[in-house]
Amino acid sequence: MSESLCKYSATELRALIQSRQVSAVEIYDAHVNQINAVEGRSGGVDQEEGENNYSDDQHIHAFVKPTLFKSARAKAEAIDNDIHRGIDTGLLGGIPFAVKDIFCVKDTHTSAASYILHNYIAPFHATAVERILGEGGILIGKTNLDEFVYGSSTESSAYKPVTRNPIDPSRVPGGSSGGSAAAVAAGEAVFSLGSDTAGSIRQPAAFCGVVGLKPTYGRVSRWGLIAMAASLDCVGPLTKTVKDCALALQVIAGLDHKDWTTVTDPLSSSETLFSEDIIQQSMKGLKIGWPSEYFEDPDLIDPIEGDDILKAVRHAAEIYKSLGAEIIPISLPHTAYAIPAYFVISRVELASDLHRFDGVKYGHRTSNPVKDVYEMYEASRTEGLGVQPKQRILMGMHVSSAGYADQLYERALRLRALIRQDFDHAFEKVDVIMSATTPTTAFPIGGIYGDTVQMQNADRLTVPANHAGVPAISLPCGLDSSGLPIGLQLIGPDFTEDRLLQVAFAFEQVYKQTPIDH
Amino acid sequence: MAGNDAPHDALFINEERLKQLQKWAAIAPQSNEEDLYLIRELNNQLNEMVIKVLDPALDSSLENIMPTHYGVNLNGRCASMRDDIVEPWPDPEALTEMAPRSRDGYFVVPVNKHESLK
Amino acid sequence: MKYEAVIGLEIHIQLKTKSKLFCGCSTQAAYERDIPPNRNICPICTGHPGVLPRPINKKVVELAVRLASATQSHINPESDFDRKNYFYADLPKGYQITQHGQPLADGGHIEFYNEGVHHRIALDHMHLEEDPGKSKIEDGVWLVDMNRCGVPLVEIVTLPDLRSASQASAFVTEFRRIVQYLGVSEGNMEMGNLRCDANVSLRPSSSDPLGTKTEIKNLNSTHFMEDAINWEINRQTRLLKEGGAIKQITISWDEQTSEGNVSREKESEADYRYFREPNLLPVIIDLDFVNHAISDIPELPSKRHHRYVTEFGLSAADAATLIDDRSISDYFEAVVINYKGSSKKAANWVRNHILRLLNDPACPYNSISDLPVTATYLAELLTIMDNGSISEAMGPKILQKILESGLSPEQIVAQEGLRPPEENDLVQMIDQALADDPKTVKRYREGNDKVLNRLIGIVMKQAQGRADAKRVRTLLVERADAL
Repeated sequence: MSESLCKYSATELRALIQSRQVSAVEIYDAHVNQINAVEGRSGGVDQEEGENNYSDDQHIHAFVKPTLFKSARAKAEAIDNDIHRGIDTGLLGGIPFAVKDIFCVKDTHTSAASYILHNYIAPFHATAVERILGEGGILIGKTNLDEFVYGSSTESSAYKPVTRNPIDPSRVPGGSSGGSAAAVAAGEAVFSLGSDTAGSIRQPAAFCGVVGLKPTYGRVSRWGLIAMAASLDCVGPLTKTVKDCALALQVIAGLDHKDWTTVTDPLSSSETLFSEDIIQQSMKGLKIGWPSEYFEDPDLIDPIEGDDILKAVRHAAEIYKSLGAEIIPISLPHTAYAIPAYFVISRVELASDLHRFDGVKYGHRTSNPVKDVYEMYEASRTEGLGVQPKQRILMGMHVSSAGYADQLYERALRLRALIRQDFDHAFEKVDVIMSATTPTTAFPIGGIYGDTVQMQNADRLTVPANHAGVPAISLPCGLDSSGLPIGLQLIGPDFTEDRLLQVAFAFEQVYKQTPIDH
Repeated sequence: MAGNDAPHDALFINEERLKQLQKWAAIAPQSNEEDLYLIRELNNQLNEMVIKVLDPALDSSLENIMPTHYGVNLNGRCASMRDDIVEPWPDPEALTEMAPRSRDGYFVVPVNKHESLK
Repeated sequence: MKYEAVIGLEIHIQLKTKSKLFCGCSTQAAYERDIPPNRNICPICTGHPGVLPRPINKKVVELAVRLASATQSHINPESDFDRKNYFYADLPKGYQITQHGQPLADGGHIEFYNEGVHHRIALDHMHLEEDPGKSKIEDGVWLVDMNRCGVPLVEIVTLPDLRSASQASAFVTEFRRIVQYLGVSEGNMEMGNLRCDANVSLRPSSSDPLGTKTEIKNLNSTHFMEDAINWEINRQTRLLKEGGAIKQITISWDEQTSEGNVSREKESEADYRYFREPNLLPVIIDLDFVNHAISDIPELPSKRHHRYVTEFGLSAADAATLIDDRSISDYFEAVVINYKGSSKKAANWVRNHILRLLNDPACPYNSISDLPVTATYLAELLTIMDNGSISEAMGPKILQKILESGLSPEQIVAQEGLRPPEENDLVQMIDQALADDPKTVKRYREGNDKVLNRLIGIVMKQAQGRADAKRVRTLLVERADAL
């Protein structure tokens, strides 16, 4: 029973807990056992890649040390007590979850996978974390990520060994929320929190075969999310099922007075979304956009490399047609400019967001002697920041300096507006847009790390949604010939997560029954 | 800086420009080899990606559209301005105590001999 | 060769709010001395990872709009925030949130008088920004206090319309009065509520183009500002006369030595890599907001000054004393409304009696609104002096009693029987005094008028000061003549 408990979704576990067939402690213990079985060494800043006693390359390393919180089991016990006393334990009562180590968790180590924060204890909770805890969630650990979320493979983390894809540990889990995706895929956590700036939830979800949602910009508070690019960052869940995704979103979403960009738009309760007739109703006459660029532009998706992926997504389209939807060809003409525009916008914003890591107030300060404060900044930052942040900061300085500011940053923001306009025009004709989430399946560890351009391009199908701010979800829709998961991406108009989740759910129900075969 | 150079020429980074960027970023120069590698990488990124933003084919559409800051239109959907109420942080001492160096409640930073305080 | 000095000012004022611009921390360190360091801080204003600026403090915008209205600046219906990026130990985020592209208000002007001459100085713009922290050097290290980080500031930039140090000083004095009148800032330069930088350049005449300007910082009072500007004008004059060129430098004024220290040479504009702050929504100001913000704007000090001189006939100096502090001016206005007599008399009483009271170190009251001698009471006192209910000499004594007892003048007069003596009684006292002193009477009869003063003094004493001195003299002369 213990092992199979790690395969259940949050919705299922909730039902089991509420009906007292299983206790929160049993669920917690089962997950701890699973972690012990598959995790191996968790990421540490004082560890080297591959310098292990047991084989790193067979284990997942989804978490950063310390993995387990002492208080977690006590909380599970308290939840069980409450259940026995008939006290409401919240929407996620007793469900173990993990959080990308880019979120502040009060009084615990929060690192952003960087050495510069290796000794930083956050003084407050991120809102999303606080809301899940408030609904009874059991936080079991912080997951590994690309340093300061810069990357699409989790390989740039300062916390070694790197996280591996549970489906095939010789491959990356994707990034930057690689640890979050891997933990869920490996049954180490029931669901996890990630962040998505260019695809950092959706791409690892696709690579690891789980569900990942980037909500509309403004839907979920970014308070406590260590910023990368404030105008693009979104907080979202990675889950096993679409229903779980809806449940997690319901808990974390909503107006927060600590984040002025959060909205008052309401969200339906996840309980009401997925009844059979509601789903049938939502599918009838649903217009699904088929963007030519995402399927036919060889720069966006290589016809050979992406052949299995394209097959799987076409199969998904057939499933939707059989459910009553209409597939309508559309064009999103500026898609190829999305990565270049993102490159400029994100570098400008992140260079500024990293200015605060100066060794004055918290985090790493050099212990070498320095002759003045500037030298202290320089030494602390040079020692504390990895290669990826350094490169990005320098690029950010370059493209935002006077003389280029008007040309590049402002131009990139206009380009972003054009990308947004593409979506606005498309959504006049269709209700939802479908595509592959990624141009390739999970690549080998070390396969493209070091080639920034290629790494960045892994996000070319996901980043347009970040520019536009619209919600987008990735869910499993097949396996390639190597058995690696393929992600189906669905994109909807602003603040229509309800319908997006319903459309995703409709596919998920059918796909479970008739998965693609090769 | 750029001056009157054609945009593309001023776009790329040379050794002098790298030094300036490193100074602004408070990131120490590496060995000569490493810095040259950095210049190559950065220029490769500029060539592969940034140049596309400057694509002249976009000029006329870009002229006719306003920059967007979020994609989404947040007008009228968010909280209003905040009331002027004091909400003290419960534990300010802890914030100074977590500094790498603090003294008597101050953050301590090495003094810059040559520069006077603003 | 004489040069024309051209001066422009950049003034920063701390807005009078309870909490900071983008977080709920208290601003008390801006108003109270001896607040321990890093007491009013939180993760937001100390730049922790994962923080966001909270929605803008509405009061900040209200106060800024009040100021912009009073200076008749054009208030932008939508303004944005930008990041100004640079490293400094008292700038915890490594950038300052400010308004670079689209400020709160453009244009406007301020009028003031200097040495009797009217001036109108144009403003370039005003914008909102965060205050950085404070640092001091002690024992070979910098000690950084972030209490001040995030306190709301308005920066006001003038056009280079000023032509002398004394003009600049008068301008700042007037500006300080204005912000105090509006309740927008405490304006205390010593506490740093109001800070000034001056840009100074010279040119041969007003038809010549502007010369290279230098910037003077660290001016903590109008007095030092005048000294510093004059010093710089002299320095530039000497340099030009020697055939040298003015470099664009920054000067820090040293109050101890009365000299400027050159901080650094500005080769080129520091590159702050401004871009729009993505975590903040634009500030939207509509007509309703403006109307609400300015609904209780008082008459500005310069207008009041003008009115006191033209309507009330006060001297410029007297008017200036009264308008310098809004609470005193408001007090004076209240007296005038309730007292139908001479405004000059009211002004004299406020200046010579009330203000003197307040300025007395022994006085336990800090502000005029705390005084038991309210404007209504003073008005009452002046009225009963005018209508003869009490003598002029009695006025100050009654004032003292109001201060001590908090009772109204009428109550005190009634209680202590301070009315002037009846005419009959007075005549009796006078006759008695004359009878007691035949020698003086004789001298008077011989033509020596002055000797009567002694008798007046005696009668006044006997009447316990309640009698009116003029009436006593008149009656005395009558009775002495009749002898």
